[in-house]
Amino acid sequence: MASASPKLRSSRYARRVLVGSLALVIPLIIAGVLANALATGATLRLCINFFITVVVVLGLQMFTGNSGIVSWGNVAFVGVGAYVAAYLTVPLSIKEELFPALPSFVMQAELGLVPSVLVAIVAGAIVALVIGLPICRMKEVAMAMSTLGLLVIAHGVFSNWRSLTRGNEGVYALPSNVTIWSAVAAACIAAVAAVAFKHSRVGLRVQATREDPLAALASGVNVKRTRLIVWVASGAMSAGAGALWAQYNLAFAPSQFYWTQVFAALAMIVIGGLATVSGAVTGAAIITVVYEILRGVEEDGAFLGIGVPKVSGLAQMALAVITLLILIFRPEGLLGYRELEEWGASWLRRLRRGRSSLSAPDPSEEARPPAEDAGGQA
Amino acid sequence: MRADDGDQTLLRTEDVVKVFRGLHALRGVTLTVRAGEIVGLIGPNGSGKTTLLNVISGVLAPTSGRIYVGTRDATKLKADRVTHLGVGRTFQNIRLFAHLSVRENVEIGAISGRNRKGVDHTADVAALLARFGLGHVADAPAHSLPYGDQRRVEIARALAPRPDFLLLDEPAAGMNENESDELLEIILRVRAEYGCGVLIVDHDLRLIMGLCERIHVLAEGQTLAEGAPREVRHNQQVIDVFLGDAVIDAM
Repeated sequence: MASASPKLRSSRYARRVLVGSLALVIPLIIAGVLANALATGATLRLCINFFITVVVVLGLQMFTGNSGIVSWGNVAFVGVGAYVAAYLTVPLSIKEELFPALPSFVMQAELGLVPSVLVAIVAGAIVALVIGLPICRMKEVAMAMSTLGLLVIAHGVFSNWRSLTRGNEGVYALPSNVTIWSAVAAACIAAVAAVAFKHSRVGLRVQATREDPLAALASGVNVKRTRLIVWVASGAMSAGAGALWAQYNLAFAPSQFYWTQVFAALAMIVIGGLATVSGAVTGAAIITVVYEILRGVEEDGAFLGIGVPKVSGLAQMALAVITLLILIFRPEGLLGYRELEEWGASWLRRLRRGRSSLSAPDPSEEARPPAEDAGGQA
Repeated sequence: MRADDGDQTLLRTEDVVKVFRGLHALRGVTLTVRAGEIVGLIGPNGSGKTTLLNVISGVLAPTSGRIYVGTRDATKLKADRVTHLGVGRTFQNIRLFAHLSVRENVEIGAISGRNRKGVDHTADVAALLARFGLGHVADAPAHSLPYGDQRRVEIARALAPRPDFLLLDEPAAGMNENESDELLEIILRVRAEYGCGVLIVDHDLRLIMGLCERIHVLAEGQTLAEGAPREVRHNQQVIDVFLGDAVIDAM
C-alpha cells in the first residue's frame, strides 16, 4: 500500500484544474488582448459579446454537459439575472418610473458590476433550488421536458408580470458597466469555475450519473441530490451571465430569453462537445464567427463577392444545418470527451512516438465515439 | 456508523418475496452470507438469482420479507443507501462509466460509498488499481479496455469503499477458461485481503465449485438446496432440476 498522503488527492485535483484552466484562460486572454488592440466599433462589440456568450454557454454546459440531461431552461436563469441586474443598477430616478412595485431596499440600491452580478448569482441559485427540488426527482427525459416548461413559464412571467418586468415594453437605462476587460475576466472566471467543478467530487459523481445512472446509484451516488447541486450551480452561473449581459446590452425585452437564444446556446455545446468545458468555449467561438459572417451575407446579399439571394433567417438555418451535420457525423461533438489539454497531451505523445518509430499502442489513445462499443455497455 | 462488532458481519435475507405483475420471481428466499465467506447462488435461467441480487442491493424493493446488513434493516433502502451500509455489487452486463477514466471509475466508488473519515482516497484508489493490474491503463477511458479488464475495473469500483459484502452477478459470463481461472484468483484474493463476504451468481459451475464454501440453489424463486458444494452436487433434486448428469460428470 502506498503510504497515505492526504496531499495526494488535492494535489492531483489542483494540477488538473490548473492545467485545464490555463488551457482556456490563456487563449481567452490572448483573444482579449488582440480584440482590445485591433478591434473597434462593431468588431469590438462582437468580441465583447463573445466573451459574455462564453459565460452563458458555460452555465448551460455545467448542467447539461455533466449530467447529460438537456436543459432548455437555462436561458430563463439568464433572464432572471438580467432583471435582477436591472433592479440593482438602473439609476434611482428612472427606476421609480420603470419598476414602481420594487421594495424600497431594492429601490434604493444602485450597485456596480461586481456586486450586481454576485446578487444575480445568489438569486439564480435560489430560483434554481426552488425549481430543482421537484424536477430533479424526475427521470432524465421528464426532467428535460420540465426544463422546456420552465422556459415557457419564465417567458410568460417576463412578458406579463408588468409591474416587475414591464412586459414586452422591455427594460432600459442600465448603466454601461461592461468593458472588454471585465468581459474577458468574467469568461476566465467562468472557465476556471467550470473546470474546477467538473473535476470536483460532485462533478465526478454527476458525470457518473450521465454515464450510467443505475451504476452510479449502486456505487452510492445519491443521483437526485447530485443533480440538484449541479442544477443550482448551473442556474447560478447562468444568472450571473445574464446580469453581465444586461449591463452590456443596456436594454432588453423578454423575447431575448427565448427560443433563438436557447437554440444558439445548445448548438454551441453540441458542436464543441457536450461533455467538455473547452468544447463549450470552442463551440461558442465557432458559432459566433459563423453567425456573424452569415448575418453579413444576409444583409449584403453577397458571400466572398458572389451574389446570393437575400434570405432572412439564413444564419438561423445555417446554425441548424451545422448542428445536424455534427449530430450525424460526430455526435459527441468536435472535442468529444477530451478537454483541449488532453488533446494536446495526446498529440505530443503521438509526435514523440512517431519520432522513436513504432512502439506498443497506448490504450489512452483510444477515443472512439460511443456508438462503436455500445454493445459492451448495453 | 461502522463498528467491527460481531453483529455487523451478516448479510441476511428473510423470506424475501418479489412479485412482478403476478409473476412470482421470488417466493420466500432466506439466505445468509457471513463475513469472509464465499457463497454461490446458482439455478436455472429465470430462477430468480439476479432478482435476489437486485432486491438485496436495493435496486428493487421486495414485495415482502426483510433484508439485514449486519444489524441494520435494509429492506426499504434504495441502492445508494445499501451501498453506504457496506454492500458493493457488479452487474451481469458490465456497467462502467464508459467515458470516464479507469481511475475516475474507481474514484467515484471510493468517494461515493460509505463515509470513511480520514482516508486518503487517491492513495487508496492508486493502490487498488495497482492491485488489480490496472495501473498502466488508469488514465484510459473505461470503454477502451478489453472485456476482462472491464470486469476487473467493475470489481475494483465496487471494492473501493471497502464493503463488508460484495455481490457479483455472473462475473464469468463471456469469459474463456483462462479468464475465468484468473477471475477465481481475483475473488479469492479479494476475500483474503479485504475480508469481505462474497455472494456470487454464475453459470460457470467449475468456477462456483472451485470458489464457494456454500452453495445456495434456487429454482422457480425458491430455495431448492443449500450447503457445501459436495452436498449440493449429490443432492438428487438439484441434479434433476438443474444440473443434469452430464454436468455433474464434468465436475
